[in-house]
Amino acid sequence: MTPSADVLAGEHRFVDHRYASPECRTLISRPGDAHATLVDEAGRLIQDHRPAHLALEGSTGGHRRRLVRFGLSSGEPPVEVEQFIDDARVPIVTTILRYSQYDLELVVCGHVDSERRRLDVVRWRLFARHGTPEPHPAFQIEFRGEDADQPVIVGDAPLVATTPTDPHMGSAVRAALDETPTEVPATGVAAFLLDGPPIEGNRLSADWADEALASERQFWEAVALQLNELLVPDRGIMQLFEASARRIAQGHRTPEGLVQSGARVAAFAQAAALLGLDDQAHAASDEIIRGAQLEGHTTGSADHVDVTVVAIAAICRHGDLAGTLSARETDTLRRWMGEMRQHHEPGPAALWALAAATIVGRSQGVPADVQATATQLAGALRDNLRTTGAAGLTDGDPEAQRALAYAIYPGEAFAPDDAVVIDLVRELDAIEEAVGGEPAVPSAEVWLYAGAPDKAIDRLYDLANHAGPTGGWPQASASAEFVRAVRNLLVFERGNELELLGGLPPTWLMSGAQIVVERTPTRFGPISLRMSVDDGNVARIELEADWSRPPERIVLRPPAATVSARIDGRAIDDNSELLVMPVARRVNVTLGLRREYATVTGHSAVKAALRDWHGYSSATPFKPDIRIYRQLPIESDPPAHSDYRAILTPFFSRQRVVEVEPRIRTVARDLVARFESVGTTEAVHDLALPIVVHSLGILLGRPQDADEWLSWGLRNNEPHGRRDSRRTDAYLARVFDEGERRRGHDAFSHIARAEIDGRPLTRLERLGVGNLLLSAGRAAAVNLICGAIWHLAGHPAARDELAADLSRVPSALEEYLRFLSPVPQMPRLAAGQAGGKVALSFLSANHDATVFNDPGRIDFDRRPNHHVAFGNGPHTCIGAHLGKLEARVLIEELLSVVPNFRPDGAPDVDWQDVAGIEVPGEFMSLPIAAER
Amino acid sequence: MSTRLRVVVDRDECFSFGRCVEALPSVFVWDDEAKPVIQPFDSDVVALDALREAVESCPRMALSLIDDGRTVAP
Repeated sequence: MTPSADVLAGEHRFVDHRYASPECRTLISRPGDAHATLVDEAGRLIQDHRPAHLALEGSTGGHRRRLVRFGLSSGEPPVEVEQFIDDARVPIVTTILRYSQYDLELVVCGHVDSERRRLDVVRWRLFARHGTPEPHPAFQIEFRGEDADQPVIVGDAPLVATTPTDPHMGSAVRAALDETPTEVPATGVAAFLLDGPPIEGNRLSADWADEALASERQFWEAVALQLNELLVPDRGIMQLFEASARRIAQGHRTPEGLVQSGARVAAFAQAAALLGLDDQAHAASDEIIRGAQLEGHTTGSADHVDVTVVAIAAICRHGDLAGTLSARETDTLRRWMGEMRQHHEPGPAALWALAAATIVGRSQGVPADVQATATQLAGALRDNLRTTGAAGLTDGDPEAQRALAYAIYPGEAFAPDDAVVIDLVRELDAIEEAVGGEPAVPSAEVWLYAGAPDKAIDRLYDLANHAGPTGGWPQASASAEFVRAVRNLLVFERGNELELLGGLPPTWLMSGAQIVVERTPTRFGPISLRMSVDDGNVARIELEADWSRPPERIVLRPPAATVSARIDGRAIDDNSELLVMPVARRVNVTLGLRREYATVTGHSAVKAALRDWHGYSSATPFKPDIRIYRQLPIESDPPAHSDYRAILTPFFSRQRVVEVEPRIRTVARDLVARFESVGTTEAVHDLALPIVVHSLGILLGRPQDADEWLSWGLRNNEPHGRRDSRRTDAYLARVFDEGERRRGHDAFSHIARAEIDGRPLTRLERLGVGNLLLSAGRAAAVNLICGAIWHLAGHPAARDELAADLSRVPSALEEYLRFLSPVPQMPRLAAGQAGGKVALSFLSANHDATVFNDPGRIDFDRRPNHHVAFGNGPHTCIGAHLGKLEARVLIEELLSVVPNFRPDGAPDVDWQDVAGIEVPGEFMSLPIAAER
Repeated sequence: MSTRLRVVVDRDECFSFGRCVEALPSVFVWDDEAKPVIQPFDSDVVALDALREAVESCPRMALSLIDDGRTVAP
């Protein structure tokens, strides 16, 4: 029981960090922090990492750099490391170091306390995975510094000096301190005092660490990471977008040096502007100018890209978006315009200069004389460069490629079909193909500019998949490039045209999808773009603009699935590739979409496809808009599927279901008694949903959580109609954590401790299994029960017949399962050339007249009744026994206590048509009453 | 008559749906764990088609029909 087929992802366009570099470091400092601390991929801290030759204002600690390593006193290296952050907005990094017998969990954050102390806080926990081998190792901290000072480390217990287990580390302290072996599980705190007054008694408590973590969480939740809201229906992309916005808010200064990365600081400035963070944008361009002056470069540097020119390019683009330049920026421009003339040697500097000059030449708010000089300069540079051709322009140098990409977009220094553009995209494509999508130079915009939106979308997902699981790239500037790419794919400026949805991934058109780009700055003034796709086949798009200089034309590139279009209510007959919209402050566009997936129908074809996992794979995330992980085992194929399923099997066996029947019957009696005493009820929310949720709570060993699950409504992954698994994820994180600590007997504790081939499940695997447990069978079981009640209430003869002989309820339910097919279809990825997304229609299989005689008729005595309502093959519903039990018990109680129930008004239900028969699908409400 | 025909139950895959027991109660009988045990059967009396159908009815593909070491169903 699971995802419906209307939501299908492209095969490769989802985020699973498949190309993540092993070097993804996460900055944990607050915005404006003078101390930069990075958490590396192995959970080590790199404190105050910055190139020693750069003095930045506000820095008090000189140029020291310290590497801190956490581990076991045994010196054993971890077998595996898992790292994540719970919330992309909050840089609190969890690293789990898995050793042969222990798990060491480190939760790390930067912290500023009430006395303005600046600390790095580590909350650690050590678990033994198998039994309790002795003696236990202790938690050990080792460090190496470039300065002579010893770090000030404070723990919740005394720290003793010891010998480092790693000869490369200078010093070590052992935290767990006593001579006797450590108790396991053990927990503790270590904090590094980077700045501020000493800590009284030189001791901290675990509570103090918990408070520190809570206050950092609060701090980050209050930081405005983006003033201009942006929302897309892909949680993986959204999470990276949020992480990128956070990274930009943390500042452009660290961890990279300024000189080498002038281009990247420029990217920061732009991304900040796009996010609406104008202060950060100005600060970044100021920083580049200052950095340039500091270094004394203004022109013609041989070793690296000239920061000045990059600075100009950044400032210009910022001016391009903001519509104005500050006096300082204008001044800088005028002063440096002359110097830019000297960049005639081909290379990165000349390309940056070209980008900058082109942008200045077209920007508003630039004094006329500067603009004229810029245009003239751009022409001269272009003529000069053109003699070399693209390959000669970049010479394979990534820095030059980056500069040329910038000159192409946002520079627009060459026409989209110019040989220079074509050569560059070919060159980049060859690199990308060769190294598996390595985005040395992010090129999504260049592809979009060159008129290849499909490539642009692929490049966006490639860039996303190079990020690590904590939401960062090896180069911090990639965060900025990611922000820019996401926005540009939706809102793109091209000369005097505004192009909307130019690079919209087709997978973002699933029903319920929402796209919002709120008040994004463009060279025409800020615009807002909002799109929502309804449950049917209609996408509504709204443009709201505050033109400072209206574009000559607004074009919208309709998705390939578009069959009809209306602009401001007027039908458009024109079938051209672009819809031209009126240049107004407000425009509404409605698109009719075709939703045709290949559908496998008929009993034998559906059954065969269900059994053929090579030909019809399940191994893909089918709802990327809701969650960043796959639901398991349902979104996997054998053999991995069998391992995941084996974890759950004990909870769903027939014996276990038989054992819990009396407790489920008690719940059913209470529900039916309430109906009897009132005389009326709404069967969806007052009978079906409660019995389903309470039964699941009983079966999974978490009856105490049933009320919380009930509060989530019919779909736990769609709180308040918003398709988003984060509430479920937060619940799961909580119960898995409890399961690890308390070793309970519920299903979540079992999952938390489960192993596959001797390894524990990863965090995302756990979430995948847990999410499926909570959502599968919820809506489907509700629909089965409601469908049965709906039919019986409307057919008194059938109702009385069944009430007279309750032993017929099980076979009646088999028939309801067939007739209703509570999961009407399941998605698969078909293999082969004609492959792609397909739906396997259970409904059509169960109404196949060649297998079921008179399939539209409900026949309680149908035998055999080999329906595929629970699927077939490896993925056959694991909750089938539970689903049948909760339905049977509720129907039995209902027929015994209130045998004369009838409809009490019309139900709110989605009808489905199968071969001319109306079959109820999802019930939103089903009022019934007891006959007086 | 043939004695080469046998039915194998994969007890790990079996999920006690009971379709086999329903289809061919003379051959498939519940055991204590609600999984089928195979009763001795005479291949001359039990039709191959009926066996095949019962084996194929298993939603979990937990049953196999083997003829002289060769799987003939599902």
